[in-house]
Amino acid sequence: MKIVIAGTDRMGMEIARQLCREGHDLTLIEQQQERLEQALGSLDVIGCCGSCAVPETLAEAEVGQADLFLAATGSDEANLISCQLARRLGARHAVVLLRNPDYIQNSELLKDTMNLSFSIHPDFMVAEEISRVLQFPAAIRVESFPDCELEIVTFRVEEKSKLVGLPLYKIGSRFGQKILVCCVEQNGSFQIPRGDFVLCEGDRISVTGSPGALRRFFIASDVYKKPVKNVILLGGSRSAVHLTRLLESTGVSVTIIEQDLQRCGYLAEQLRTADIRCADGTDTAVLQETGVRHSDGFVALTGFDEYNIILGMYANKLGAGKVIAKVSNSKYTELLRDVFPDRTLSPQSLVAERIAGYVRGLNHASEKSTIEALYYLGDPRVSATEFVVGEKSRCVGRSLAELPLCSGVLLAAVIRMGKSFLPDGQTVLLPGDRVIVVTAGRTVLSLDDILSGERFERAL
Amino acid sequence: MNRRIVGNILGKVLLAEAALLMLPMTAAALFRESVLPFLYPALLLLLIGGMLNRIRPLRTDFYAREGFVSVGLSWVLMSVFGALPFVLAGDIPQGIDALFETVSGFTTTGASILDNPETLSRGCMFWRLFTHWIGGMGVLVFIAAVLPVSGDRYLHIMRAEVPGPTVSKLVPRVRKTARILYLLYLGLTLAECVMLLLGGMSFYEALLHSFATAGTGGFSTRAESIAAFHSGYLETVIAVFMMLFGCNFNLFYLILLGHAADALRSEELRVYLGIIAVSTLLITANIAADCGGILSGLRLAFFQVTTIISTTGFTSCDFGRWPEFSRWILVLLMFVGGCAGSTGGGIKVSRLILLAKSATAGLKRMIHPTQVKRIWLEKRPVTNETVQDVHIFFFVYLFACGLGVLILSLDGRDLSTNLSASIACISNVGPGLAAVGPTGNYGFFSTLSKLTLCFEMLLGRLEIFPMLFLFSPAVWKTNR
Repeated sequence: MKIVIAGTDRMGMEIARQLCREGHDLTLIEQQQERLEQALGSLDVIGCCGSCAVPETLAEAEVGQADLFLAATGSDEANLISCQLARRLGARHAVVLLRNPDYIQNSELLKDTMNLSFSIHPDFMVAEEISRVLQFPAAIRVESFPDCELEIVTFRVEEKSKLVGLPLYKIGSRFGQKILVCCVEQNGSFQIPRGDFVLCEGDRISVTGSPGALRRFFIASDVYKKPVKNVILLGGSRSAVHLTRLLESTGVSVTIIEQDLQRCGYLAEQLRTADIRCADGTDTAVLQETGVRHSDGFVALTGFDEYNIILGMYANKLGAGKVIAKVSNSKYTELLRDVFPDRTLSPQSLVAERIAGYVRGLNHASEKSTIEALYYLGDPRVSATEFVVGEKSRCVGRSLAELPLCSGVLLAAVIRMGKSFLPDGQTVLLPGDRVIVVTAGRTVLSLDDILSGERFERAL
Repeated sequence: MNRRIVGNILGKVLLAEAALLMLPMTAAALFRESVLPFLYPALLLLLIGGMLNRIRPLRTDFYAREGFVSVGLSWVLMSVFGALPFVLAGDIPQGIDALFETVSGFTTTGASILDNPETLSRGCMFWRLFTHWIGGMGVLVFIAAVLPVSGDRYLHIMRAEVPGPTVSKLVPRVRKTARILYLLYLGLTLAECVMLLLGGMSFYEALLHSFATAGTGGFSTRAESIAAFHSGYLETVIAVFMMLFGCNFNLFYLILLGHAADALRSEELRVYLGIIAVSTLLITANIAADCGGILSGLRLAFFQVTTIISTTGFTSCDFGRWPEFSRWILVLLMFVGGCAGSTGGGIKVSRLILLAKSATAGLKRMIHPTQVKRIWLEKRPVTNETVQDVHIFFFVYLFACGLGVLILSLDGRDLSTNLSASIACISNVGPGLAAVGPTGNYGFFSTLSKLTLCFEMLLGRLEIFPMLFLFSPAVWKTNR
């Protein structure tokens, strides 16, 4: 697909890298020539230099022939103007990144009046993701599939866990719950495990099931931790405001530490019930005084990755329950995987994943099966993709045991008539079913891609 | 440096050469000559290339340094193995001569050591002219077009192999760009072949001359080059195609997409055509009296100007006997060369435009010291780094050319022979003046001189840096 991206700062580059990896043809627009050349040197894309809010630049980037225009510069206004222009010039879809909460409040209205496909709010996405993790502190990530009672929860197998040394086929009988382990990360490599796979300490595993079943499984296996009751946020950024609102709506009490007095005033105005402290959060005495020791959750959301990482580690040492740090530089994420106690979270990766998922959906709105949603389970190599089974799909009408599935592919769940269930060998897929496919190290663009070609021929 | 990955790429290059050797082998078989001179080198390449290709890179890092080294080494290895058929067939028994002929072929120079090329076997002749076609667009670009390669990595290779101060891709993906380039190249070559057939050339000669024109090489099947055909039509067709192959291929793509007006507005193209027009007129005026009329003067001048500026090196008359004024114009044209992104050699028109503009801006700044000025090319501002790179390129180019003359002068020939030989080789033109002129050849030079000229040809084709960096210790260090 032909995609034009405006803006090559960290956000734009992360999106470009992800889309480039998925095989799309990209054109980048950037105002600063040096920056553009740096981008062109590291990715297989073309670029054009100029402001994205100028029609000539957009025309030079051939926006008119583009399937998707993506405005990801640092300025909301430039993003909105360029999207408007791009649509006028003939771009088939336009996606805008918005940061100013005043604009986001009216994003639906903006979307309609400006003819946009959808708008992405990185700060809000960060807040929503953090809030989801804090609701379920045992998990590293929680992906919930809307309106079908299904979740994929990723968590770490701890040292003294009951799960250590347990082969997967015994998990069902041992804990009596219908859940499925769909992906395991062991020593940095991802795999779709077989039934005889034995769990070790330090593995990160992803489990699917209904929220109820998962909860009972976590309680039975002692993985469960109680939801947080009080959280300390470091840095009063836009994500912090949104996160506070989300947390307070579920009854969590929030303390925000912010250095800037004026900003504190604004926060106090916006968030009446939150406890706002005007202090330098990098001062460890301040952290102790605020009560990090007794907090259930500590979230570092300042603008500096380094502060977030170090203070997150410090809070963990003091005894904070669940520690989350915002780390924008995705290169750091890999380094921190084994060092950082709980979860680091990169707004760039979140946005890039969301957009890649959207693009996959656009790209393969084919008859055989359509992609509904796409989630990455902690790494772009492992994804959970939701498909709608089309009438012409080759998967229809035979039990799963008969289907010649590729390696590295798992049918994690089937959703029929709004109800999800875990499939077994006797399950037969029907047209209109939604299925969730977990893949490791392989890209699945349509449902039929999960069938291995030759074996299918032979089976016929 | 990531040596394993460079080794892997070299393996692919050698395998590609083995595949390309199949064509002259087929030609040899069709003409009932021995196929062994091509079969043995192909098997050898298959063996070595296959072994190198099996090297699995431990790391995937690949930067400008790896790009330069793989391109430089590829071309050296390709030339060495490419010389084997000539030696094995017994057509050019001396190793150094065969190497010179092959380097001259791959670098699209067209400088020959042969007294009379007509004595070559047909298979060797095919290979000799086919090397022009391979070298014209570049073998690594060819690999990018046919093999699935990682685009991020190949960008550095394209930069090192495709001529011009900056590389502009036609479409986002390197692979598609390479494919488009090769398809354009193939299309134009076939078009020329058809035109030559219509002029009464045999298919064999039409095909080979099309190869030589497309790569802007200049080898011919005949000793007298194009003059041997005594045909105004053939001369005009070849002259026009030489001019076309000296143009930036991006422009052909623009025209194919229906943006002909944009293509014709290109600054570089206009200057290129302007230089051709002015030089042709000046030479016509200068030689008209000696060669019987303005029309025949025009015909000779146009052919010689296009052959030199596109750095092809075909000849339709002995320009060595022209007046000093005309000869010097041709020598100057040797420096100019084709456009960036063409198959031609030389300094390239766009670099000269940048040099002239930067000189003007520099002079103005001396008068108004506070003036700040950006240099523009093709309606775009050019970064200072690019301008600086052009200055460096210009200096090293002239320096290497001068150093070459110094080494050649050890042989005791006259200045005009040495100077024109050095220029003709580094600019990939082929024929020079005096002893290396249209009627002469390079056979008389000593081994040292031949090696020097080989190196100059490679310097010129790869635009200096990839060859130069092969001698830089900093490039070879494992740690960066």
